[in-house]
Amino acid sequence: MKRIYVKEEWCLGCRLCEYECAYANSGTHNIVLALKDKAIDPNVKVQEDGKITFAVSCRHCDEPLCVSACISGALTKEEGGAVTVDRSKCVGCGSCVMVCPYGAVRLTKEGSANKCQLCMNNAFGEPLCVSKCPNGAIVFEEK
Amino acid sequence: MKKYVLIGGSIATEGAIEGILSADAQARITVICGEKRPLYSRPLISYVLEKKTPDEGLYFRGKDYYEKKGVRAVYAMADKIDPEKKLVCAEGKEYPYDELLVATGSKPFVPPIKGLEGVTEKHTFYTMDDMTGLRAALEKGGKVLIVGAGLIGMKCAEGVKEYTDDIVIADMAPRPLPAATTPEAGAIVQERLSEIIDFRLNAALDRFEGNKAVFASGEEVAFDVLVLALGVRPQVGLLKEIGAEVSRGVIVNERMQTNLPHVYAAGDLVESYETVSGDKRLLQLFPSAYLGGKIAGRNMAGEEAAFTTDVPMNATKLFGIRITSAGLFLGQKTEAIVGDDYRAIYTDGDRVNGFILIGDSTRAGILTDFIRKKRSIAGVEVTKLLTDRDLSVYPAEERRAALGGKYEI
Repeated sequence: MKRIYVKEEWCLGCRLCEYECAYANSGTHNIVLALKDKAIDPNVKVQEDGKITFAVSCRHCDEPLCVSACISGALTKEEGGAVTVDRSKCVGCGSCVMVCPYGAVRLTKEGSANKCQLCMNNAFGEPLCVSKCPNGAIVFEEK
Repeated sequence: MKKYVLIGGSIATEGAIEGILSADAQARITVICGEKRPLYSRPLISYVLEKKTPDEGLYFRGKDYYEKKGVRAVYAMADKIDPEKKLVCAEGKEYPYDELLVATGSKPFVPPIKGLEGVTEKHTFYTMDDMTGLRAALEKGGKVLIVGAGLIGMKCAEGVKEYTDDIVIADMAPRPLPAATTPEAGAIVQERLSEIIDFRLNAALDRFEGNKAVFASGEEVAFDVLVLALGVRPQVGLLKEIGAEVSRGVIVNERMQTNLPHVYAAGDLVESYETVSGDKRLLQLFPSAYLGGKIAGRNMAGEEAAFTTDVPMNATKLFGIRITSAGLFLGQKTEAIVGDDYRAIYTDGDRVNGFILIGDSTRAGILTDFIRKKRSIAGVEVTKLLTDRDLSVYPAEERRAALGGKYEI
C-alpha cells in the first residue's frame, strides 16, 4: 500500500506539515477560518533528536497493535491497508495509546482517539503534509 | 477444504478467524457459541450501562460479522470434545473438525457466601446478559452494593452512577484497583473518587442476611441491588476432561497448541509468556486474546507463527481519571508529579519493568514498547521517558528505518 515516509535528513523542522494537517482535517476550505487563533492538534507531529527533526504520523502497520487493542471497534485495518478511526464509536479508554510504539495515536481534548488517515476521509483526498512539505521530506509512496 | 471449529464467540475467536482466513481462503469455519449471540465486545458493557454506547454498539465488528467472513455460527453450548473422532458435541449435535480452537474464556468467580441464596437482586457484570439484567434492576431504583473494587467492579460503578448516587463499593483489599495499580496510584484514585463513591475497604464479607451484607468487622450494609465483581476464572472444563494440560490456565506452546493434537486454545483461559518475569501467567487481556487467537488461527491453517511475548497492560478512564499501565511494578521506582498527574516507571538496570500513569498518557505506547522489546534505556533519561517521550528515545538507526519505511519498530 502507499504509505507516508519521512526523510529526516531533509526535514527542516518548519512544522508546516502540522499546520497543513490541521487545515486538511478542519472541515473547511478556508485556511484562515481553519487556523487563525486556533490551537492546532494535528495528526502529524514534528519531533527532534538533537539537531535532527522528523515528522511522525501513523505508520499504518501491517499488524496494527492499536486495532488489536481497540475494545470499541473504532479502529479498523481497512482492506486497502489503511488504519482508520471511527470516532463516533470510540469510548476513550486509551488502549490504542497504550500500545502504539510510534506514539501516533492520541486522545483529543474531547477524549476520543484520533490519528492520521492519509487524508482519505477529508476533502483533500491525498496527504496534505506530503504535497505541502517545502523540502520534499515527506513522501507518499509504495515501497 | 479444511474444517475449523472454534468454541467460544469472543475476541480470541475473532483473532482466530482473521488468522485462519489470512492463510486459508478456502477455510470452512464453524463457531460454536454458548452465549447464543454474534461476536461482541464485553468490555463495552459498562459503557452501554452508562448510556455512552448504544446497545447495538456492543457488536463492535457489526452484527453480521460472521456472515461477512463466511463463518457458520452455531449458537449452542459445547458439551464435550472427542479428540479421537475429532468431533465437538453441542446440544445433541456433532461438529467434526480438522483443527479445533477452544476459546471459552473465563467466567465470574462467585465464592460460596452464607446467605447469598436469600439475596433477591444479585448480579455479576461480565456478559451482555449480565448487563441487561443489572440495568433492569437498576431501573427499579434503590441502593447498590458492589463487592469487588477491581476494574470490573469500578467500571460497573461508573455505569451504575447513571441510575443512582447511592453506591457502596466494598473490597477486602486496602485500596481500589488492587491488581491494576500500585499503592501510590491506588491511593490517588481512592482519594479522587471518595466524594462520589462510598468505599468500604479492608472489608471481608462474612454473610448476607436477606438484602443486607454483614462484614467480618460487624459492619452492615443494606442494599437493594447486589453486584459481585470478585474476579474471573478461566473456563477450562472442556479441555481438562480430555486430558489437556492445565495449571492455573490451559498450558499452550508458542503456537497456541495444547498438548493434544489439532487442539489449540487462546484467550482468557490460557497462560501467556509474560515478558518481564519470563513466567507463564494468566493475563486475561483483550489484546492478548486477539493476538493469541490470530497466532492460533495461522498455525491451524498450516503456517508457522509464534506468540512469544505478552505484557500485562491496562488502559481505562474511570470517572474522568485516566489510568494507563503496563508491565510489572517491580524494581527501582522513579516517580514524577506533573500538574495533577502522577507517573511512575519501574526499572531494573537498563530494563523497563513497568509503568503507571494517572492522567495524561500521551505516547505511552513508547514505554510499553520498551517493556515488550526489552529495550535498553542506556543513554535515555528516565525523566524524558516519564514526561516527554517521543521517537527520539529509540536508537536513531531504528527510528530512521521505521520512518523511512524499511521496517516496523
